[in-house]
Amino acid sequence: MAFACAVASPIQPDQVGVAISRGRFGTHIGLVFTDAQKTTRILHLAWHKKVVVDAYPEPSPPSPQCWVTLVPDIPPTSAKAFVGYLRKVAKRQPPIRYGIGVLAAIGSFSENGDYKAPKGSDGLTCATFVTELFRLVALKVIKEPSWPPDVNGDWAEAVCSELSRTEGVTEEHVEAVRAGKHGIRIRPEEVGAAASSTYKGWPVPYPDASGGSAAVLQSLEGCCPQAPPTVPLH
Amino acid sequence: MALNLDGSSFTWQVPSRLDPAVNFQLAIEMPGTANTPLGAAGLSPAPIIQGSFASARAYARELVFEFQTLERKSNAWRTQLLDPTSNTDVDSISETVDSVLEAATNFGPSHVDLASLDLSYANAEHLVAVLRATFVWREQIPGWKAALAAAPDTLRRFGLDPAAVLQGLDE
Repeated sequence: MAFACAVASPIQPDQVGVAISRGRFGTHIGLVFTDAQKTTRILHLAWHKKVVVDAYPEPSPPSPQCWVTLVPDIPPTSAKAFVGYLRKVAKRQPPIRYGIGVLAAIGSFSENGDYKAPKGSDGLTCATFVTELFRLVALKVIKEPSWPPDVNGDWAEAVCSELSRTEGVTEEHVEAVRAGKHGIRIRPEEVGAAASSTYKGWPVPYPDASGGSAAVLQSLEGCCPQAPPTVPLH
Repeated sequence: MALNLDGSSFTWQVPSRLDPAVNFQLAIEMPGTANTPLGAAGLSPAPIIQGSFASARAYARELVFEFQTLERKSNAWRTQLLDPTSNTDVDSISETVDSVLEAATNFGPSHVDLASLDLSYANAEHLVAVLRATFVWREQIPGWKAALAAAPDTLRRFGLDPAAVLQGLDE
């Protein structure tokens, strides 16, 4: 399975898709589902306390954001249950803090089925938002502990810098994020690569996800030529 | 004071003198759920409101309606699950997910009592929806693990591959 241009890849109502776009820090990721009004949507964590439900790109009029999408081969029975959950999350649009700690964030949706940051979690990124939503319905895409730490921490510094310029973000939160800057970093294209692999092989370990990420980026490059996003996504 | 509305019993506590201008507290008991605190049922706890008895009566009606709607919604999953001929399109499955989450959130996970249900002829797709939607409550829901153990037979009856459909639920 490979990612393809969203405008040419309609998602069926009983399917869940993974969508990847360009973002401020490289790439960005969300989930595609169909709402109760039969409209296809992209649910994603755009930034700090900004869970967004966007319209799925149509050929006309042109969408402001270019996405590539893929439908993982999860059984339709499980996909439908996942759609049901995504409809609820999309309706609630929980105010999730943007944070980079991966392992502490595991189980972020485990209390009352709603988002509640676990102890020690600084929030979610767009990528961990997606993996946590999968986990919510017992669909584990990746094996987080197999990811290596982000040694140089440049990305984390860029996140902190952006957070500190964001209205409503406390200095404490920025410092909490900075404290974890050498932790694990999960990139959207790695989640995309894992989602494109055979479902029976989930959860996917780092070497496989990382190895497949070049193909995801290639699809993105082919469909969405390099250009800054019209809407800043993270 | 007591009042019967549609078979539901209401009591309210009032100050020593009945004065429509003073605050009074309204408490509601529902038959069959007499011990269910309103807060646990997802409704606002009985507040202290100001007004006449007429307004209290209207308020009580509204609360009962809200409670009954919530209860109906929270039970819809059971109906769909136990009917092997239930519709299994994405909207019906979403309704089951919504309903079972409402039940677990508003009444507590123990309200989603799978142990009390005969799942021999359950609808396979709705069973999967219930199991996936309540996965995070698997330790608190009575009969959740037994339902998962029984699921393969149900799935096979519906021509579904248990290993693929149930993947990830057996943690």
